[in-house]
Amino acid sequence: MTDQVVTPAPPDGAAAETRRPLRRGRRGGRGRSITRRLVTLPFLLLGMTLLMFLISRFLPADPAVAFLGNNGADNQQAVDAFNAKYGLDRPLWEQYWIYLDRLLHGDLGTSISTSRPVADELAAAFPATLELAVAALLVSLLVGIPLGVLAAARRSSLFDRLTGGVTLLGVSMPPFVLALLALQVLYLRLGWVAGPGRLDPFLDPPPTVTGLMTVDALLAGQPAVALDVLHHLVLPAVVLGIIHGAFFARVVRSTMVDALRGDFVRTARGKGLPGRLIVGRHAFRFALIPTLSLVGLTFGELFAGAITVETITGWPGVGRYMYNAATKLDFPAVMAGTLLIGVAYVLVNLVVDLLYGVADPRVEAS
Amino acid sequence: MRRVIPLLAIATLLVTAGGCGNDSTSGDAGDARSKTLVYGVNLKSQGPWDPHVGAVGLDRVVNRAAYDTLVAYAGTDYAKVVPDLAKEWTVAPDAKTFTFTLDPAAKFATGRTVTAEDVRWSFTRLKNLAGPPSYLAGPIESVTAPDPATVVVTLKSPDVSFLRQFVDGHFSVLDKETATANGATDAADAAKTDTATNWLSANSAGSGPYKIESWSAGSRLVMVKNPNAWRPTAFFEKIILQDVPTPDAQLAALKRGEIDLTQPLGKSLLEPLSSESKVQIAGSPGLTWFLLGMTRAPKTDPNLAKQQVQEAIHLALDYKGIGELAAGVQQWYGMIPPFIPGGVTEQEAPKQDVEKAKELLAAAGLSGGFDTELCTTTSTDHQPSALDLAQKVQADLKNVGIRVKIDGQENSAFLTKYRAAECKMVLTIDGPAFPDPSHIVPYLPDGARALRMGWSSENPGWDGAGYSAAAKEALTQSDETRRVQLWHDIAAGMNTDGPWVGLASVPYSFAADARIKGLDQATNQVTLLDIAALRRD
Repeated sequence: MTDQVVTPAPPDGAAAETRRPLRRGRRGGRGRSITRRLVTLPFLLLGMTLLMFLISRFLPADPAVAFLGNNGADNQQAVDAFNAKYGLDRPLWEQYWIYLDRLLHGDLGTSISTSRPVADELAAAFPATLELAVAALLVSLLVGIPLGVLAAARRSSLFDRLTGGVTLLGVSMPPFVLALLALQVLYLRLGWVAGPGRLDPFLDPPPTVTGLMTVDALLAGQPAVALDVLHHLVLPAVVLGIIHGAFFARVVRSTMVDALRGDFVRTARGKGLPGRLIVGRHAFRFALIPTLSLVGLTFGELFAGAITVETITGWPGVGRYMYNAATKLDFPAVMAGTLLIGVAYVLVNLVVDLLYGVADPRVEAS
Repeated sequence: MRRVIPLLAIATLLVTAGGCGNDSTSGDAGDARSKTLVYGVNLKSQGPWDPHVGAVGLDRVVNRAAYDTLVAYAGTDYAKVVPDLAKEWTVAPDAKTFTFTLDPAAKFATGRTVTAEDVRWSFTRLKNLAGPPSYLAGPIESVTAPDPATVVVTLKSPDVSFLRQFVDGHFSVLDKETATANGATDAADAAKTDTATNWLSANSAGSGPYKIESWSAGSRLVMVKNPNAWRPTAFFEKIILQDVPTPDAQLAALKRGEIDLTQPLGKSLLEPLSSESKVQIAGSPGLTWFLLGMTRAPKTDPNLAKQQVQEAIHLALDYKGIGELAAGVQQWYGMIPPFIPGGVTEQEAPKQDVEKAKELLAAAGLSGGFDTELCTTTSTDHQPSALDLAQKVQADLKNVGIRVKIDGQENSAFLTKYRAAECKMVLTIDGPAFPDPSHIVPYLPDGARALRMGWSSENPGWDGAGYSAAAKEALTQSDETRRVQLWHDIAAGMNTDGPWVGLASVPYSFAADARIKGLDQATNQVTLLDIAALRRD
């Protein structure tokens, strides 16, 4: 990825070690940068498909056996039919060509394990992941930004040290460990959050309009259903939110510390502005700019990195779908899911880069 | 900071939602809850629900609920086949022709009468779809419907036990009219042209007490009562298979009344529940078994293929220790478990004798032992795992000088190697299609499993010819007592120096809400769970 967090210089200069040269492109540089990205996107995706295709074909396992089972694969007619159906009886290059041809026509293939079109299955799973990603992002911002700001404002205090330790733990802890812990404590022991799944079994899902169940429930005039979905969303969103929130906290603290050393802050202090106003209005605004870049990266990671959390908490999104598919050597499903995540990752970051340029015109998209 | 306010509002909503769960236990909602059965399971690998395609596990439960078969078992009495769609049947003396007379009362959920043509069409589709369970129909030569109430199934070769295959839910009878209207076909090229599996996962076309209402892949399956059910009315109005991925979460959800049944769980998880008054433990003996195989092909392993060595391995194993590897493990005493007709009893079980094993190895010219390799799966779906048993076998054989290297691989990779007959020894998890002693046919010379171990009519070894002859007689034996005895003798004989060692199985045990009744009669190893037989007090 070309994305990187760009730390802008404080408006009126900050500590020398925090300064980074601004990338001032020529007029229209951002436009060219975006065009360049859009042009390279197909090649990136092509590379991704090739890599996934080769990995899937060189595994030391036979998809026909994975699908048909130990007994079913004794039936040679079934093995032949399976290989013919998925083109596995053709040369490797031809298999890839057929895959690409279908892909270009919008056909993501048929799931080996469920016999359903992969596009339909991903269309059903993607909104759940999107819903989770948005909720987790909100949690991470709500946790990370205040912690980072307060830690910077009380630099070297006990609170700052504690925050540093806790956030270090947060960024170091593998998501699956935190997910298992949260499931054990918050759901199994304390019963504070709803269990696995997206909706209470006794509630009927709302009619699908957007696929985002909270939104669809509200559109259908079913607030109880919307609340239940939110209830189920808490566990995976908190797990993912804490992990990314810890990261946000560390970055915000670091940026805020730089900002609070800046001349503009000293000037504000000299004018007698209250400390709260200096931190909340002047320094915080400065810290928000690199945070925006991080939001994009995080949002993309939430798509890609939610596999373990979705699997453990039973959230029926793309991550869980891909995990299920991978355990059954369902190559069409895994490849399509990877592609979807890749596209989402790239597009989200492209959008954030655009917003970044809008938020701070001095900084051109790199 | 003003921009943060909306975020805070959403977060507040998110958090307060935690305390605003749906209250579904009052009034009408409470009644609906009592008439709804929620089955908490890991839906990871489940579906599709087309009975002629799905072959993963829970499809048996769904098949039984939404469809009927020609015959059935009554609970766990595997010795007796009882009527289902067929009210009576005959088996011709040639042991190849089965004639069924359909119950005229049998009706599909659409209200149509079940006809012989529906049966013929369904069995032909099962075979031609070339899906995971199609192998079950492989031995069938033809299915005909001479009149609307008569079905004649002819096999390619004699097998009286094949009657029991028709209990299997993959031989479910579909409403041909409804299924074909939604893309199903029984044509010879059905593997390419049939497009109904997707539809049959979210709907059903059967005559069972329930019909599928909706399916959200990997998340939730909903079945509702069949309004045109021809058998006694089921208690529950709605059945929900809800994805609850982990055993711990299933148990927690059960205790809170969020679900009524868990999926099969290890005994170590279930035992602590025995004192809980609101929970009961139910199940039946498991047919999913652990099995040790040894090659008979000298070119694969010249040491292992010797008679004295295979006899020594039988004697070297610590069977008692294997049975104690995990709570609930049921030791098999041979290739046929003790809980089905013809099962090998504890008295006939092989006994560990390390000294005798060493003597046999010395007689084979291997007093210093030898090196070999054992393939197995690293799957952890069962407790103990195959790897646990492989390590136990490795330790036992080390005591007599056989140095075993374990080659553990992901299940599909393991099966690929095993099926290619590349394993010297194998420790596999298997599951007979139906609980009849004839399930050992694939393990006898020329059987699909035996060929992987190099045991064939061309390489029968010291015992293959005798077993083959006995099996041939058993497959055509109409005298049930004699038939069962023949299979029993084969299994008992293999305990001495056969290439297979039946080790153990894991019981099919699960937890349920104590108010759920009828579990004893509702569980067996073919349908797993007959939901229609359950009720709530």
